[in-house]
Amino acid sequence: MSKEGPVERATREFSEFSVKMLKAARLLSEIKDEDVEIGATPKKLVMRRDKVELFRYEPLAPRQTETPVILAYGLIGRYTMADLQPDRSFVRSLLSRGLDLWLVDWGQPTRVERWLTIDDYVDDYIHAAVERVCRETGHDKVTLLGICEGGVFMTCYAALHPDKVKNLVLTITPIDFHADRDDLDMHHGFLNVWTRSLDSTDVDKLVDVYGGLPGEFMSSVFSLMTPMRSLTKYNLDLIDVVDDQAKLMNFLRMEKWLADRPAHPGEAAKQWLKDLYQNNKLVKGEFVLSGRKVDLASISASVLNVYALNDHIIPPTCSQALRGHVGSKDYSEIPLPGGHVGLFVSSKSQGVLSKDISAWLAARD
Amino acid sequence: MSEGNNPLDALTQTVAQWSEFWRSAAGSSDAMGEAWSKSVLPFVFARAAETRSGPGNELADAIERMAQGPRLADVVDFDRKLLSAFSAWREMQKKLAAYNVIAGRPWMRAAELYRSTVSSAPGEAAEEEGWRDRLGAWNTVANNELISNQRSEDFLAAQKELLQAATEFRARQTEINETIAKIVGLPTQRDFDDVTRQLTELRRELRALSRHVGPAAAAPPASGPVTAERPQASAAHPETNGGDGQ
Repeated sequence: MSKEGPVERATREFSEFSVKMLKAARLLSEIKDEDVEIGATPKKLVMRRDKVELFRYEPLAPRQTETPVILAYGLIGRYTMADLQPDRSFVRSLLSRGLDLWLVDWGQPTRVERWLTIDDYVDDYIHAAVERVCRETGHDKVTLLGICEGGVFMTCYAALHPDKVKNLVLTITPIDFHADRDDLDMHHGFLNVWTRSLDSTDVDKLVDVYGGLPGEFMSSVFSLMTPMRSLTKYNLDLIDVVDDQAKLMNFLRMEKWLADRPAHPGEAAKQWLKDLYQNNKLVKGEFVLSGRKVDLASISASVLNVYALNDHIIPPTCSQALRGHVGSKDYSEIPLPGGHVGLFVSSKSQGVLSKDISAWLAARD
Repeated sequence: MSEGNNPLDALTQTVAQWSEFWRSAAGSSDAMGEAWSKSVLPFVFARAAETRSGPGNELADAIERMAQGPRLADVVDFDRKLLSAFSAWREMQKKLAAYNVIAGRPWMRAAELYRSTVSSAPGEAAEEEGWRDRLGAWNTVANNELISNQRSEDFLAAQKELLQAATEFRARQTEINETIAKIVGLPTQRDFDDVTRQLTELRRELRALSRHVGPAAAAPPASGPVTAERPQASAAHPETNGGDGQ
């Protein structure tokens, strides 16, 4: 066979790409919206408080750790990222290791929730969930497991209610919101830089006009962090995976999660962006909830702090800062390879995160 | 090269497959609408449309779309407020143009960098690369330039000014909406915000009172029934508020 020339090669490549495009068009027209299911691990509704729901997951293995674990995601995005699909589910992975897992789902906040503050989320919703879980299980303390902003809420709760928290497990959680300056990777921390570039009155006006932080707006800010990836997602990445039904479904589930981004409640958004991102009040000991200062030194629970080494949204330095402020003598860190979302959904990280967390919890049960 | 490996043949076959795909699609046009609406395609297209512009423009697009929420074509008689909204819109367009200039700068730099990378590569190595390799290299160069630009003072100032202008435009639209709502006797956005504020504050007071009265008065039985239906909010039925908000 003679060597393929550049024109022949280009023609062949174009032809192959076109075949894939054709296959993509056919497959996508056959897949129905209900086929792309996320957050499907069986769970039972235990309590509803306004739009916030407390679920208990059905066990998938004999109980290994007795202390109930309450999982909470942040208000930017939904918890379904932790339960994207059966073979890439942080939730299922924890359940398979015998944890008694509960979930606080913030639901779909709208303008109705405009006036809710972080005070409400911490001292009302989380507190009600903790009380309910304690009553249902007979325990007087729980393990709190927070993801991202949910980790900040859990940290605040652990500081304000140390008598209710046995263990505090944080994943990809910012504590020092200005520590991005210590991370020299320019791909990290754009959210910190962007937020600091705004005036506090910009945040006020944005919230007053829209009633909250629109999900679409936050999505666009996140897209800026990986610009070329955002640009090539639908014309290259999608076509690349279309040969493989499993990969295509992974892609679509991730898209479904990304699209499900409710508005961040307004007053809570002001606290999140101004008090924390702009003024860094949490590590300064100036963050006030329900009239009380959140003192990280008051955290007496055992603390496990897990962060992703290539997290472009929450730079590792922002998470690591907890070490210097927390009051607990039992403090551990686990740095894991991967990014902010990849830590939970990538094939490489499956099992690693849950194994580390469940082993750490078992040792303290 | 054997006949089966001829890229032109492969291309011909691909074109034939596409023709067949579109022919069958056109032939079943009645079913297409239903198939479209039931399939995942509208969702994928909507997601793709959200990122339809080049990087750097996404933020601008999102801000613009947010600001242009309500359509005001029927409004004809609110000169001052309309003029004010129009003025805010013009201001937003000015800021958008300024933003686009700054957001577009890194593309030229990326092109120059990429060109120099390609021209410095040995001829044979460059020939061996496929278009996906070259695209990958371009993506890396462009990504770094775009991210670097986004962190610049110019970009951050431009996006802030655009956000301010868009928010102001939206605020003036809301003023017009509220004027119309008052005329036709509908509650305004401000009314809605007042109601939800009072609701939130009342709920806080109620829950604080429940805590003060004590857990026994506020807590439902531990094994109390749980309904998946949205319950009626009522102080007399604490379970409806989640029960244990002590």
